[in-house]
Amino acid sequence: MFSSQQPLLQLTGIAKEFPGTKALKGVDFSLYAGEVHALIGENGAGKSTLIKIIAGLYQQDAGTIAVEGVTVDFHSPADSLAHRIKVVYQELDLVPDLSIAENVFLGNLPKKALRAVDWQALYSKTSELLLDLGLHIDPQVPISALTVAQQQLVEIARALSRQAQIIIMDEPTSALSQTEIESLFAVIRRLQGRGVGLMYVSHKLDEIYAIADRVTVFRDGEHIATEAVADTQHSDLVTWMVGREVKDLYPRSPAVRGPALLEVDSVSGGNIENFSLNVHAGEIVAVFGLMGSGVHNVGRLIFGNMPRSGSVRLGGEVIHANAPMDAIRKGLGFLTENRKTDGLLLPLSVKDNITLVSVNNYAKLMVINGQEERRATTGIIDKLSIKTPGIAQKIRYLSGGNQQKSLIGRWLLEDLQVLMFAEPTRGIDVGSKAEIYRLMDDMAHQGMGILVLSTELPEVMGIADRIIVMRQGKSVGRWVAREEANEQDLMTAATVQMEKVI
Amino acid sequence: MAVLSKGKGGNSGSASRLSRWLLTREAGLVILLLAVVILFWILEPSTRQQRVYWDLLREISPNLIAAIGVTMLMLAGEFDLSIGSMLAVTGVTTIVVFNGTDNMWLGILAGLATGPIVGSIHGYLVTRQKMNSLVTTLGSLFALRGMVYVYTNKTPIIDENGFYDFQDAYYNNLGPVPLPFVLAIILVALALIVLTQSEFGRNIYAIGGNETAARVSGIKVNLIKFILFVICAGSAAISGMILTMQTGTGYFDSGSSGFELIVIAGVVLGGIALSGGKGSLVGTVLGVLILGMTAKGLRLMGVNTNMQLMVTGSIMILAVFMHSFHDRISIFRKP
Repeated sequence: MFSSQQPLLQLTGIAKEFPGTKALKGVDFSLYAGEVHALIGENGAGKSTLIKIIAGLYQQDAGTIAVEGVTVDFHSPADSLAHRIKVVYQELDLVPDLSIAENVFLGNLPKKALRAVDWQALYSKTSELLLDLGLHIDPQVPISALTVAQQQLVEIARALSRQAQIIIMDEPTSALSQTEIESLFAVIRRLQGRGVGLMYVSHKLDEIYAIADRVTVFRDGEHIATEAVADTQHSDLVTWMVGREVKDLYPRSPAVRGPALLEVDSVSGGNIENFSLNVHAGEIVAVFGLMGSGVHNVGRLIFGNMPRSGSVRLGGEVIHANAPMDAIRKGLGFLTENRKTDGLLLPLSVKDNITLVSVNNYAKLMVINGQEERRATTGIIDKLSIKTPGIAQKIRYLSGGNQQKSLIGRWLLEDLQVLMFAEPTRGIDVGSKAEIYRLMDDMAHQGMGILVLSTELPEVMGIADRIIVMRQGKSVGRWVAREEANEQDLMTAATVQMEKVI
Repeated sequence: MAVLSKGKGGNSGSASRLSRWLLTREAGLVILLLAVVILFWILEPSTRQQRVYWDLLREISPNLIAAIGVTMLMLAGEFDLSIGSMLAVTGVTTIVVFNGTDNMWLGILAGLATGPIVGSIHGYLVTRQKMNSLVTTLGSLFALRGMVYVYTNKTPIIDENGFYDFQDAYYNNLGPVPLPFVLAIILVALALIVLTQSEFGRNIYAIGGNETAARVSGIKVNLIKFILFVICAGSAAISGMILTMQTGTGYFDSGSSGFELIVIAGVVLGGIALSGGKGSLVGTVLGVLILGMTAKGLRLMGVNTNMQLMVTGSIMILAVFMHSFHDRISIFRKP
């Protein structure tokens, strides 16, 4: 549909090799003015490498980049920015202690004589840009005072401040609520109307149907397909991405419901008030809420790394407040939503990460039996089919999905009754998602109880037996998943009165 | 749609402006400084003379000047531990060139040049070779001191010409204000303007606050850090020069009694975050003054040095407590 024009951005035969891996094997990508072109692929497909090449952070080994028909050479981010290309990164690249205005014009502050910063111009220009995005905030407020959604808009304002022609968004919605996503899409459509070309990188296929004109799929560093979104089926995309058909993303088959394992009674703490729930053996219970609803804090309160009142019992035994070790000893595991900061020891090996909690089981008189530890690790790697060159590999080099599986493995080595799982598949590709859901299903069948704390509705609908919806720290509704729950009701329950967030 | 705003228009009365100022980091430091001054005023009659304060400002000037460079570097998230040894390098170089050339200006030039030279080496190692600045400058702390010891054989180098102009510069005044302090104030003012009003200065905060963000925004992170290492060692060389003026000798042990730690203590006390990106030069000045006043007051009281250490340490801990308290209450001031 755009073929008559000259593309804004044309990448041809881009290749990039890192020691040991070919990240990109000669891929093509084009972007036209006024178009949203989605790029999808599993982790390790080469999407982020491509973004970094466009951003000038990496240099390609082969291939050419042309901006508006002219071949360019990017040696630094400044070169890329000079061609009015702006990347909105997944991990927001903002300076928390500086003001909104200074962040919007970071590296590009308006100046008066003698290179002094023109504060007046800075604040008025920023206000204009923010208003344009529907954000009514004083530009002098520090970034750290904003919500994630507002920060995302600041990132986009930053792109606008440089009159970006080409905007690349890397997983822009991974931390946004449904309403926030809607307003982000509204902004994207307006930019599109102004002739900006947007490259939209995402894991969420639904969003691609909502916003993109064309879609390109990468797999293992290769270009698999580029199609108009209207001409593709959901299943095509998945098949292209994983290279095989993923028939059933949610393999949940209800298991025999046993006795109550986890009994939480009127727990309060943080923004949570009077929260109660039970998880039975063989059951997957999900707590669903939007960002800011406190859904993740439920896990922290129960596990004891956030102060609480109220009682928590596991298999009949009381779990003390503020005592995660007590919870672990009694058979409760917890995977937080921040894999990188709360879960993984990035500089350490896969083995050290997997045996972190259970390492004492292989120790006699405080000396670790290395052989036993290695055997346990290999067992987990086989059982969960974690893809790693070896147990000594540093965990930072594994893909998100394999990192998450390693963390699950960490808890499987303990004798767990209940595993709590916050955002089990955040930032994880479709293929690994299905595997992680299958693991959860297996654990339930083996008589464990699973508590999922999630902000992703499809996931909650797909995997849970029972669903509890939270809003502003309170539970506002309970559903038996496959019989009564529908997306509409859950979303309404979670969002009513939440309009004022943005 | 809730509109978030700071509500600047509503409460601009002078009373609320005062109460808002009282919540800043600097206000706490001013109060602490006043408390220290008043305490000594009560305890030690000799601190009631004006002269004591002018002396204090003269004595504290080298620390103040070195603290400028340290502050700027720490704001970008890097360290320089070698500034104490820099003092000796500058002093010895200056006097050796005095004696070799019989030219005062050549000596001063050579002495000051040692700063940028050492700073460039640090800058190169940290930005190009990706070495950790703490370890790198810890290395040069020892290496530079060793060099001075080897070269001087641990004997002070006397100014054979006796350049009195050089020594007078330390003891002279501009009106009532000691010359070294005039220099310190000029340098502080310059640095303050750079840090708060120039793009270079704002980029320093950006680098310390989030280096990746700075880099992808096209800020030349390595170049700025390199310049900051040069500025830091350069400001140490200026302090070294002032101390050399004071004695007229190139002293091998100049700054060896923990000069770098006292300066860094002042900077941290002033509220500069160890991780960078947070704090102000005004805080640094107050921090250095608080430590200087405490030390001077205790000395005048004739308190023994062991006791002095204890009191100074306690004041530091108190200030750091104040900062962490400030960080906690500022959560509530978010819009």
